[in-house]
Amino acid sequence: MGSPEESLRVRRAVQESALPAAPMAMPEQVLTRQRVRGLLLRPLFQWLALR
Amino acid sequence: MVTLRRAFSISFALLMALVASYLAIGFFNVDGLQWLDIARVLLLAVSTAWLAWGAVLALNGLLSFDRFKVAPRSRGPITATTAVLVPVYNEDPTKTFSHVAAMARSLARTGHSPRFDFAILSDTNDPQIAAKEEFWLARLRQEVGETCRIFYRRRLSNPGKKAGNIADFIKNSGGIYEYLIILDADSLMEGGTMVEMVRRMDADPELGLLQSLPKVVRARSFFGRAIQFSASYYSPIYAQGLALLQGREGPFWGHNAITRTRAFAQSCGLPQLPGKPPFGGHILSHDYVEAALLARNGLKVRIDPDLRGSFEEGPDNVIDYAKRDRRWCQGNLQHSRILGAPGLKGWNRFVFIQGIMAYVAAPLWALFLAASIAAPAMQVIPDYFPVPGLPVFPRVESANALALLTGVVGLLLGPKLLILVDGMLSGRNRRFGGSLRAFFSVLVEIACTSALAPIMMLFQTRAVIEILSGADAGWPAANREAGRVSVAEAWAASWWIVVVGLVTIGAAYRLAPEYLPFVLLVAAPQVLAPLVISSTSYASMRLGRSSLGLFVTGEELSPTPVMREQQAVLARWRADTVEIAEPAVVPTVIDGISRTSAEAGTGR
Repeated sequence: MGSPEESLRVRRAVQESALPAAPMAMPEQVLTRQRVRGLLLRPLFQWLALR
Repeated sequence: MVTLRRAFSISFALLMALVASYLAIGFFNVDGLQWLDIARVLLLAVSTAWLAWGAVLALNGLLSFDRFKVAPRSRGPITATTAVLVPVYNEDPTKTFSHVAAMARSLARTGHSPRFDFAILSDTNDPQIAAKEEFWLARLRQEVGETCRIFYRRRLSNPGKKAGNIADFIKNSGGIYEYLIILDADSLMEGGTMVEMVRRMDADPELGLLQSLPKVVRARSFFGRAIQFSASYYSPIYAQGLALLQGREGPFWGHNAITRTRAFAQSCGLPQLPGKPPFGGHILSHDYVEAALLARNGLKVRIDPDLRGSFEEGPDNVIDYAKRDRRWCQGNLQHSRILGAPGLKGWNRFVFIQGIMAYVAAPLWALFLAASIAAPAMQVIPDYFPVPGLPVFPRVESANALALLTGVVGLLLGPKLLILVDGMLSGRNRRFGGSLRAFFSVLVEIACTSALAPIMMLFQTRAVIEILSGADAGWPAANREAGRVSVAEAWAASWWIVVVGLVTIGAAYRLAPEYLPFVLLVAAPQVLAPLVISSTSYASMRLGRSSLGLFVTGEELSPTPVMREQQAVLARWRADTVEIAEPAVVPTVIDGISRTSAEAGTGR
C-alpha cells in the first residue's frame, strides 16, 4: 500500500481521472431588488432643486 | 386544476386556523380576554394553519388517482450524455466510492453506461481523507474497469460549498453533458432509474429539473429506522400531494435529481448575498433557490414519486439529526432575504415561506405553551356578584377545549392513520410486512415521534434563536456512520433541554396546576431527553427481523440489486483494508490546507 508501486498507481489513477475541459458560462443571477428608497420623492426634490 | 387545488388546500389550512381560533376564544373568554389570551389565539392560529397544511398535503396525496400509476418505461437507445455528479466533503471514501461502483455496475446492466460518466467532486480539506480518496479512486477504477468513465477532482478551496462545487464543474466541464444527475455522497440509484430519468428529460424539452423521491435506507438504530419507516411509508403519499400542488414549480432537494445542464447553468448561478452569515454570504439551502430560478426562467421543475430505485441515508441518532436541522434551519431562514427576488413565481415564494415556517413553528409552539402556563396567573379574579343578589358563575367551556385538543391531535395523527387505512385497502402494507406489522410500526412510530417532538421543538427553537442572534452553523461534514450515543454524550448535548423541562414543570405546578397533566406530556420527554436520545440510538435491526417486524420496509425485506451490489463491494473493500495498511500517501494535489476535519466543522 505504501510501496512506491502503489503510490505510482494511485498517482496515475488521479491523473487519468482529470475532468475533461468543456467550459460553460454560468452567469450570476439577480436575487435582490434595487434599493428604491426615496425613489418616489426624487422627482419632487428635482422639481424643488430647479426652483 | 392546479390553481383550484392550491386554493382548496390553502383555504383548508386557513379554515382550520379560524376554527381553532374560534374554539380558543370561546375557551379563553371564560374570564374575559386578556392581552395574553389574544397572543395565545394568534400563536395557535399560525401553528394550526401549519399543521393543517401538512395534513392537507397528505389528503391530496390520498385522494390522488395518479398515485398507483407508474409511467410506462420506454425502450430503445439514448443519445444524450449525462454526468453523474457525486460531491463529497470529508466523507468516508470507502463507503462513498462503493456507492459509485455499485451504480456504475447497475448502469452497465442497462447497456447504456457509455452515455454516463461519473464525476466525484471533492471539497475535502482534510489531507488524510484526501489521501484516502485518491487511494480508493484507484481501487474504484479497477473495480469498474471500462464500464463507465470515472472522473475525480478536488478543489483547493471550497467557495460556495456544495452549490459552488457543482457550479465549478459546470463552468469547467459542463459543455459536453446534456444532463447532470446530482447526487449526495450517500446517494444510491439504480442504473435503470437514471436511464428512465434521462428518457423523461428527453421527452419534455421544457423540463429543467426532475426530482426523484429518495427512500431512506441502511438505517440501523431505533431512531434511524423510525425515520426510514416514516420516509418509506408516509412520504410517498405526502410527495404525491405535493406533486399535485406544484404545477410547473416543483421542488429540488439538492440530490437524487436530474437537470438540463445548459438550463441549469443559465438559471442557477448563485450570487453571494450581501452581508455576513447567517443571513448573508453564500446561500446555504441552495436547492430551493435553484428550483425557483429554473421556474423563473420558464422551465418546468417536477417531482415524479413513481420513480423507484432512488435511495439516500439518514442520520442515525437525534444529535446528528439536530445538527443537520441546524444547518437546514439557517438555510431556510436565509430564504427570507430571497422572498422578494424579482420575477420569482408566487408558488416558489410560498415554498420559501413554508420552509421558514418548518422551523419557526417550533418557537411558536414553545411560546404558546409558555403563554398558556402564564395565563392563569394573569387571570382577573371573577366577580361572582356583578349585581347584588344571586351569584353569577363563569361558564366553563370545556367542550371548546376538548374540541380544540381533538382537532390538533387529529391534524397531527389523522393523516398517518388514514395512510395506514389506505395501506390496508390498497395492499400497500404488504411491502411493510403486512397490515398487522404496519399497524404496530405506525403505533410505535407515533409514540416515538410524540416523545421526540418536544425535544426537537427545543432544538429547533434554539436554532432559530441562535440564527436570529447572528450565529453561523458553518459547514460540518455529515456523520453518516454515526454509532451509538452514550448517556454522557446525550447529556452533554441536551442538559439544557432537561433544565427547560424542569422549569416548565415547576412553572406549571405553581401557576397552572390544572394544566399539569397536559404540560407533562411535553415536559416529561424533555426531562428524560438524555435517556431518550441515547436509547433511540441503539441498533434495532433485531426488532425488524423478529416476528414483530417493527419498522420493516420493502427495501429491508428485499434490497434492490444496486443495494446488494453496494453492500457486497463495501464488505469486500473493508475486508481488504484489514489486510492492507492505511494509506500513508499524501494527496497528489498538495493544497497547503492544514486544517483537520475537526477544525473544518464548526457545528455545536
